Amino acid sequence: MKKVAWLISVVGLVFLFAVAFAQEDPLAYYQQAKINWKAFEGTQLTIGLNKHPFTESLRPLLSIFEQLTGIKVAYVILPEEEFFEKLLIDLSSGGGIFDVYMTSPMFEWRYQYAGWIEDLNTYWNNPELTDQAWYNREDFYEKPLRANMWDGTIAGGLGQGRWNGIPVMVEFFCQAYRNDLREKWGLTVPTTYPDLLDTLTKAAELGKQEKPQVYGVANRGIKSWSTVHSGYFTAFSTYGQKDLNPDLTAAINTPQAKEITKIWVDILQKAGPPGWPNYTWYDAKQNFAAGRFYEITDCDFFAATYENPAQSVVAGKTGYALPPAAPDGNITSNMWTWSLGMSALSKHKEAAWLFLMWATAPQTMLDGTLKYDNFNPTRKSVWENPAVVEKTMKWGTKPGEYREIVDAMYAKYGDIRWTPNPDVTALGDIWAEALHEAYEGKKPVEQALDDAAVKINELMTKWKK
Amino acid sequence: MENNKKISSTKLISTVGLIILMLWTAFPLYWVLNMSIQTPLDVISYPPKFVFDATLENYSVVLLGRAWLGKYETVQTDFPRYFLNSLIVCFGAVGLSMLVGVPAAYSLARYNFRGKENFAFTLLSFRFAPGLIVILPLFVIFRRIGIYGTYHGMMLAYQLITLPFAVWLMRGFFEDIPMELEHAARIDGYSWWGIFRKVDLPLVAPGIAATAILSFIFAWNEFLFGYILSSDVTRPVTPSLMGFISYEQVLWGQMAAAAIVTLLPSLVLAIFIQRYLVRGLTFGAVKG
Amino acid sequence: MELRRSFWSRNIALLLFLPAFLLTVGILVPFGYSVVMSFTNFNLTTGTSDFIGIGNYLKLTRDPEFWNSLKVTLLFTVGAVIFEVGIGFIAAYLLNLGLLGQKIWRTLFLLPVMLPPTVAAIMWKLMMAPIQGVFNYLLQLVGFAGSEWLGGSSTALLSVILIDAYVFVPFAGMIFLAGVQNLPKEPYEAAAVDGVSNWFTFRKLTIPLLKPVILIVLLFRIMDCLKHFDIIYAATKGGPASATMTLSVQAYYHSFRWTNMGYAFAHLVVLWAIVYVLSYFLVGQWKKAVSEVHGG
Repeated sequence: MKKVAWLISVVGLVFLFAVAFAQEDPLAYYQQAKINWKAFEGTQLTIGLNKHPFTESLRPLLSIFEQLTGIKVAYVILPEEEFFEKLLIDLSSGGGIFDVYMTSPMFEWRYQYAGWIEDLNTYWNNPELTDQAWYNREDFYEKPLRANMWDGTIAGGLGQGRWNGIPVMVEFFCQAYRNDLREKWGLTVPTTYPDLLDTLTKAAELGKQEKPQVYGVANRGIKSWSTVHSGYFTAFSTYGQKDLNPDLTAAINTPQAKEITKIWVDILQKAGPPGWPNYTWYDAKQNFAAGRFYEITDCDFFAATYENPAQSVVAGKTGYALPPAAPDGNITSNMWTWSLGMSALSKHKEAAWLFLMWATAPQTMLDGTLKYDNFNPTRKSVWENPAVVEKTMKWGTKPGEYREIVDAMYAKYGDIRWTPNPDVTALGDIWAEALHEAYEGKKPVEQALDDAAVKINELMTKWKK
Repeated sequence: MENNKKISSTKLISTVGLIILMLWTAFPLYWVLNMSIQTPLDVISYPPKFVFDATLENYSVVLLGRAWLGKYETVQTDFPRYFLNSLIVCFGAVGLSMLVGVPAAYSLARYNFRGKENFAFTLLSFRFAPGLIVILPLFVIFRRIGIYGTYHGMMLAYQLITLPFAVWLMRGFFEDIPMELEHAARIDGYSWWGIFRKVDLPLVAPGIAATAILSFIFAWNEFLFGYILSSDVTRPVTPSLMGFISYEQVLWGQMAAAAIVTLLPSLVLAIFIQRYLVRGLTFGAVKG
Repeated sequence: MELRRSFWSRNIALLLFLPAFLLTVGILVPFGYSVVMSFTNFNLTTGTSDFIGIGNYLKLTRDPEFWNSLKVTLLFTVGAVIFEVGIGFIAAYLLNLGLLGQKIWRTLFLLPVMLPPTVAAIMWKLMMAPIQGVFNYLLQLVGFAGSEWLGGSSTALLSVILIDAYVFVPFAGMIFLAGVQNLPKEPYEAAAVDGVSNWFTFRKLTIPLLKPVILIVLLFRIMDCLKHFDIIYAATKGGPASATMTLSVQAYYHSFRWTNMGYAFAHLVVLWAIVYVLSYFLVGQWKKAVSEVHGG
């Protein structure tokens, strides 16, 4: 009996060593796939990346891909605005420096019409290049995955037809607040937008006594579609509003749209950062992490920064909550997802596909999140991975607070709220300008939205049938 | 007595005025220098710190890509390479401008021909044209003939900045040389080349140096051309400074250090030609 | 003999001139391309580039954004030029008084001209940050309320002008200084003998004598301000709302952000025309002033 136990433990140990040894070799995992990784040995790929935690998580892993395939990877990393501008110039000139680039549905809609982005279905359905079972596409959360598919129907057709990009990170928009100050000041976590206005106005008043002064709420405000995209669109769609009507006329100036926009502008005027229209997301994030704000209504995944004591003084003091609800109890959030797409101008498309397969494989995505903090992950297996769970459970005032929000976002509340059309970012830029005008008191909210609607209608004329 | 009082009060007001002027000039520079020797936590601290433990870490990170203390967020910037790119492109552009511009300036100063003033004005008008109007077509053309993102392509594009400058400034320097000198040399039997080499060149040599250095500074400070026409490999230093805004945080300290380093070449060169600087800044309109 | 020499010198003149001429013509090609494309509906997203006549220009006349950006461009130019010429003049005066350490002050004064404008913009943006910036901190320290600086539509244009002035006041100041130093002594001595007031001398003597210098500063600053792009791009991108939306920045939105190239080119061609005509006029005035003052 004893002998048997001994034998079992020896066998077990050997097995453990074997497993451990196998894991020593990072290539082994990928070599299980029925893909000829070496098929394009000697090729060089150029990847266009935005400065982003995802990029930082991908960079250290690239050598694995180079070993695995013998393909050399060069990359260009640019700050966000510059990245999109350079990418536009590159793609429009027909030259094509980039084989693979970071993108997002809102940009893919333009690129698809301009013929700059490759349909990935062709490669996905090619058994020579793809091991579908190994890659396990079902593992992706459905929302980000289908957001990257579009059949080209203006104002519809999302999740069908072409597959433009593979989602690598996802963000929703929630409330993050200073729980220590909330307790000290006797505030509650708002559940409706008038309530939010009320709470933040109080917080902004109370914050004046703090040294240094604590402001009410941080939210980005630069003159760009991205200002509309985050907290504002979340509130806007919570009130059941859309950017466009089905006939492609602007819908941003309905009575309810004006109502919620008024509340939002009120919040910014009474509790927002001074000089909001020049406020960027990194100002918002950095200043919240530096303890200068009571609340932030921007990306949820900024939590990774807040909860890192090396970068933040509010680690462990931050509470997370769903965005407030509409009068009818409805809650929705907008969604942003960064994806990897393939340039239609690439001269090494098969090799680029191998790169995409590798970069978005379960193991690569897990390494990126676990070792290099790429949040929020787009694969279920990564988000549910025990080590990731352990790390993120701690975020919030009670265990699992942050995780619950992300889960609820995936399950119910979050999705891409923009109406698919190639000019969506231009539409957003116009809209952001209207918010500026209202915030600055140049125009009443109603008029600012009405005027923007006229411009949007003109912009959209070319897409009407 | 009355008069003395008046003079001293004028002097007082002037001195106060000068102090304000110098504060206005120096404070931003001081502040950037200040930031460049602060740790990341000091940089973002509020209230802002005027007294702190200075560190050269930012410079080390920017120039050597190394953090000695190990607690620094670094961002992949390739700053030394961008710096070198700027040097290559600016030297090349200035070299070409001088090669082409000095003879043209001489010709404009010494000879009369039809359309001369029109040509000179057209050239000058490039200096005043909005950058975007040329840059988009240049981009398309460069792509087509395959010199987009190359050093020589950028050197060509930078002619828009450096050439009008070189020609107008050098023309002024040549016009300053009295015709009589050339006449005398001609009577002595010199060919035009001999005159140019033996009479004109030595006299305008300081002018050439000043022109070259000023063109260099203008090319160095250019943003739009470098931003749009460079590839990641040939990107010059001025547009690259925007790259210190990372997703994780803005690396203000490193950005400040990089800005200071970027300022250095212009500064060193400008000290050499201080005497000609004013004259150069006005295309030779004012004799400094 | 004389004839042959002039023949040769004419050819040498053209020969020396040729490379620069070719380069100039080369540079004109992209200009021409832009002008031609401004008559098309060139759009990168739809891929069209059909000739539409003066359609883009007609659209401009009906586009309130265009008129606004024209207005902002002019406001920016007028504001910045007044500021720079005014302070520049005062600076030239102060730096010519022979106060202690004048040489050092002159060198220090000139430093900001060496700064790339984008770098100056980023520096100032940071100092002007309403919450964590040093300006508001210092203002509040001495009891003033902080400003929104670049983030308020009433202050943004002024803030941008301030940044521009930081870089270019030294430019104006140094040129005025050189002009003042080159003023002839005799007329002033005569004026002193006649016992006329300082103000009268300044108005009737200094200003006319400095006219060429003033014109050259105006020429450079007006042209640079009209086409201005760098500082606003780095500091506000045209916001808040469209408070700092100059023509160049508007064209940048239409092209790089909205892929509407034809329309962007129409903006730029209009801007170019304004700049061209105005600079032609100012260069003419300048040449006239030079010959008046120097009598040749």
